Amino acid sequence: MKEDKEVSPPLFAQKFLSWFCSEEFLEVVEGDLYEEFLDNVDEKGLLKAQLIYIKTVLLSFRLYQIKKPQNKTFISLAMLLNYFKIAYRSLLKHKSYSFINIIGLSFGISCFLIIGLYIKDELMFDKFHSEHKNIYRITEKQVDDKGEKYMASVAFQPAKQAQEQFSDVKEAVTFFSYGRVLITNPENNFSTYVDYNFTTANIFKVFDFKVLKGDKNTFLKDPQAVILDESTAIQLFGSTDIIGKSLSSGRDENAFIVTGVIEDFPNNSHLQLNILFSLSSISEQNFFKNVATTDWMSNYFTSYLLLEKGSDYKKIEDQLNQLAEKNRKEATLKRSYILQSLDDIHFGSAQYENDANFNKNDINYIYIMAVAALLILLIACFNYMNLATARSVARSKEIGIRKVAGAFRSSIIMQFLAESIILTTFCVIISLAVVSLVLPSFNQFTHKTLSINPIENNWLFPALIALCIIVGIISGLYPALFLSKFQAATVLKSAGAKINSSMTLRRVLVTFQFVVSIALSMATLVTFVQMQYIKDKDLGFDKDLMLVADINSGLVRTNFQTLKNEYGKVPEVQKVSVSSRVPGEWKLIPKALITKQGEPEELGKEMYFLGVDEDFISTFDIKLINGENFKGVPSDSSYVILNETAAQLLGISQAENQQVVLHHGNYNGIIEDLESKLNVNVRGIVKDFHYKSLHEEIAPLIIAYRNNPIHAIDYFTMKIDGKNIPATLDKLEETLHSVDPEHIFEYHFLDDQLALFYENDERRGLIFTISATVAISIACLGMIALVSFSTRQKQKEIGIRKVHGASTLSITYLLSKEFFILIVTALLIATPIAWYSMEHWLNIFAYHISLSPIYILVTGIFMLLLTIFSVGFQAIYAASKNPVETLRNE
Amino acid sequence: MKGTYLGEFEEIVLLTVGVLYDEAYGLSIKKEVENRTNRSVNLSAIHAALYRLEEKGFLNSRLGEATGKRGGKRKKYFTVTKLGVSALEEAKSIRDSLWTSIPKIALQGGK
Repeated sequence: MKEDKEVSPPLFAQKFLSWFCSEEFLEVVEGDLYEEFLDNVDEKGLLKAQLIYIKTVLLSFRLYQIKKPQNKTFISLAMLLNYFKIAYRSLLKHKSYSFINIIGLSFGISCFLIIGLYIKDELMFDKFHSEHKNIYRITEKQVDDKGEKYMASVAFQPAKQAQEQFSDVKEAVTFFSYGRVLITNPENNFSTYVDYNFTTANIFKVFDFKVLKGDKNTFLKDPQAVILDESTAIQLFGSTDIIGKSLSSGRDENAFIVTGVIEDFPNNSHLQLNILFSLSSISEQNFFKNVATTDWMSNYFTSYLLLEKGSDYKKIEDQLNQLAEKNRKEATLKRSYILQSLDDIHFGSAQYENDANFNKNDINYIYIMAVAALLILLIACFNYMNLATARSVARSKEIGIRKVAGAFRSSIIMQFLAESIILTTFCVIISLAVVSLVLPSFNQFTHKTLSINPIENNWLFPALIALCIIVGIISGLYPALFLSKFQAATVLKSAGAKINSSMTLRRVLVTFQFVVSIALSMATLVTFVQMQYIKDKDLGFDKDLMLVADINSGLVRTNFQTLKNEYGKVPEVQKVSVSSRVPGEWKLIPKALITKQGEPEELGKEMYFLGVDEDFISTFDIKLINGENFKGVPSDSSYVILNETAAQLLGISQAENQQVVLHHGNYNGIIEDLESKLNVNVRGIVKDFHYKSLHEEIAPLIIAYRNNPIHAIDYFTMKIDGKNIPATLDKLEETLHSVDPEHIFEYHFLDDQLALFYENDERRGLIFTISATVAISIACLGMIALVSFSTRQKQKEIGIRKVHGASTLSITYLLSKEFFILIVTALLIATPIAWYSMEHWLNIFAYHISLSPIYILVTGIFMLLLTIFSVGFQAIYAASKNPVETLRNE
Repeated sequence: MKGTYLGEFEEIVLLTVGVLYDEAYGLSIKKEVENRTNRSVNLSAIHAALYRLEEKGFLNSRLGEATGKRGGKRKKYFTVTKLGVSALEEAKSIRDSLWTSIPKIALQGGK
């Protein structure tokens, strides 16, 4: 046995033991452990003995041995009331600090709450279906030598066969969208255009959309049955009590019978439909039978499978692919089905085409927002920490007195924590008010129905309490530990406690705050410039004051020339054109397979296809760079115009004497051969224009004459003058009704339609802007408070310096130097982070601005200006004070 | 306390306390258990078992004198109470009756 002093168990383990272990056991346990330790040192060596000691201490951390909380250190009601009183008094006493604290925290918490609500709602997308875990969408991957693509809709047979043949498939729901249709209530002739959407009867066995009227198990069974959502029912019938009423459709001679009314689809459903027609209404019709009964190829049907709980969807996927293999004939395109879980549809559908997916999102944005929300909350907490520690001098006397009066350190810690939790609670209440004010406009912008109604959100109240406590502890813990450390004798004896030890930490915190603010504001700046770039970018065609009117009836389609002439007579209409699709198209643009004359079909390329009239190029102001436009004569049908990319791809540089062949049309995966191959001459080449969104590169485009076998005209586009748009619209509607009185005047403004491409980008941009603004405001508030604190502390020093002849300028410099250094440091740290992430973001646009140092410069200058405003003025004020005022009261 | 059920490890500790009679305290019990069972036991487990046994009323304890070997800390000696003895007896009789009820053939080892 050694009595050597150096041989002792690890100190921290001993301390830990005596910290947690209650008096009752401590002595005996310590004794046993020490004795064992000494034995072990002899037997196994010092290191091993120490390790065993540590292990035993850790294992001794058992409930029965842990100190029971002692009443004196815990909150008793009387002390709690006292904490309230002191918190209230100290808030009142330091009004400016309290104000900054409360404003900062409330801002931060509001921002956190809004983003939190948004994220929660996003994560709950489609989760309201009770079977959401077992619902899968059948999607299709198509691979050929040009690459791969993903389709969100598939052929008719996969879902049908899956349900019939695989025992693990409980139900299969299929939606078939057949374009748009005019529906009319024959009683009052109210009508509207809706998606002509046919659905299998079992939809409500799979999805839990709420049913208001009718029997959900049967109402889509019979042919000619239709169910409406509440708002469509109100719009057409003025009530939801409409079971058995009839509804006529513009594309079916037989009327439909209303068999049910459902609630409007909620905003957090990727499926959004106003009206559902029973699939049996068309399933017996010849055209449908011809296509659907053997269909393993098309991409017309959106299908969902409900699987048995716990079944292996991969197995079903394999089975489905094997089955499809047997039934498909085609070889060029390699297709395979992928079952996509309903839970993945909202976030995991970026690659899908033909995807009717409301508000689809990218999970990465959710991560970014979550991080932004947490960072903002954190910098608001840091503000509190900074201000509370900076105020320590003012409170050191109070702490001294409390200690003299017998307060333990723990009770002082409790006091400060209680204070910060009380303050946080107050801020949370303010934030709730702020949030309820802001939420309506936020909802409108994001198409959400977020609410902080505690009855709808029963999780909200506990969550808020947790938030108060967590934020209170994060922001209050350091100040509490720091302040409670003061020794009563020291703080009471000296004029002010030395608080330098907290300076480093405060610098780190301020720097961190500014790193976050700078990174966010740089991101905001880049987002803003990019969005501006999109708005201002020359798309290669005129998009302003372009009115696009749909052609929805055969009558209008055949008499388009009359109507076009009539439209042209309206004085406000400058130009009119008809076309199959328009630039900025929201519906599917078909493709055509094209080769040069004499080339084999295998070398052909599929290119987007527009059918237009002779006024198209002039109406849209598209530049013809080679050759000629259509002339408006029947022989135009044997010509096409190409865009630059298409011409390049075909190796054509001059339009003259170039012949090309169109082989087939491709309508969303359905290949339709032409009666005979179309041999045409190239009439002209137009400059590339962005007929799709700027997220995509300009693809090759064939512009054929309106009279073509591939795609008929679908729109009028009119360039109007912007003087009195409502009156112009009225006139146009009148004109339309002179040709077809039934036809509803359905129109879009092209620029609005184009803006929809970037709606999601705009939305995210707004969230960044809010985050950046809040972050900067909080950080600046914190900085202002810190400066005012440090200038006040240095009052005397400034006075003495001035007496000795220091200039106002040099003192201003002295006071603000530190903050400028912090800002510059923050700038250096934030720049690479922001640069890297923004470069990443910009890549989602095929056409984007390039990052340049100018963005750093602008952000830097902006931050420096802010610093000058928040720091400089206070410093100048302090520096220009008459030293007599500050030194007199010594 | 809940019940007077005696766990396997508790039983061993309780028996060991009996074995050591007047010299049973934390560390000595640990060593004895380790020697007799040939397994390594952490001291904290012994402490926990002793605590539970005392709570159940199977053990009595008294504090000894402080010695330098223990850094001036006193030992806590344990003795088995009457209740402890009857618990041990009960456990033993349950085992015995089980033993006697096993058919001989079963004890010859599974073939």
